[in-house]
Amino acid sequence: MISNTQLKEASIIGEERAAKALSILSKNNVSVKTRESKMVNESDAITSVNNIEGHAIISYSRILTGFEGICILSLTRENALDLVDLFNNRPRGTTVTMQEIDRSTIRETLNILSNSYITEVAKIANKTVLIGVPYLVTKEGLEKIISESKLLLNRQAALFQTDITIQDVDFNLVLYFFFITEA
Amino acid sequence: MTKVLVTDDSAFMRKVLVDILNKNGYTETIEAQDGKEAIEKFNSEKPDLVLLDVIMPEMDGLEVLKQIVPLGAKAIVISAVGQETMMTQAKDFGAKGYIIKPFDESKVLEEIKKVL
Repeated sequence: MISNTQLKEASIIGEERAAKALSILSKNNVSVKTRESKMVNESDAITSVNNIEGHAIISYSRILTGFEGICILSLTRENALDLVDLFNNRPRGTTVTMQEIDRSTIRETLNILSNSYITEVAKIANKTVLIGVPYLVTKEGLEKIISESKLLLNRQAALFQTDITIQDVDFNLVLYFFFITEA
Repeated sequence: MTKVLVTDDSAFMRKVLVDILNKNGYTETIEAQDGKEAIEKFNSEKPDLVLLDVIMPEMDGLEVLKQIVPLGAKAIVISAVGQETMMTQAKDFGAKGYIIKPFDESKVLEEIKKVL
């Protein structure tokens, strides 16, 4: 069982790792602040996912080893387009419709953020965690995946809400890890 | 001229790598988006170096290593932060170098120079 205190400690190191990684990728100064980190139960986790108001872009990947579960990253469409422009060295506002390379930019962001945070969560649990290939899904698609795989059954979730600033642009991203917690 | 095969399921990461390579004189690059395509292109194009992501759909980077190293491939494995445990496995399978994503240009060039 991971406590909220342990999760907060993990989030401090996680945000440092994420900031360093995103700085390298964007070639800009990046600030990452974890606004909230907490363990939530199954019903609260479902409520959180359902309440991602305005977050139209959702990326998810399965956790391959260590825990059984999934990682989810959500952000607004506007944030996603800005992120794509920044990481691809284009002026902000260039991308209006996302192409495959733009979608892969978002998936890579999930990969970096997830690994930055979950590495620390895994250390607390004394596990080695590998995260699988990330995919983009709609909110409805995600609900279907969760429902069909019974991923939330008897599970808890770690929730990190992060505020990221890159080149004076503010991003609000929500990162969830759903996984089985041991008694 | 050095021919480099860049294998990553992320089109974005392939572009980042190819841009670094091209900018630094490695202008002959080939791309593969998964392990199966990497093996096909290794066999058909005979690259001098393979840059190989670990976590990919269809066939992962370690499986690719198992198949191409016995054929003489020189490979550098690339994986995300937190996946450093894969480094040992990759080396066991014959990887010559290891790069953690996201990487800066100097790290990529340093590893390539070590291997070639």
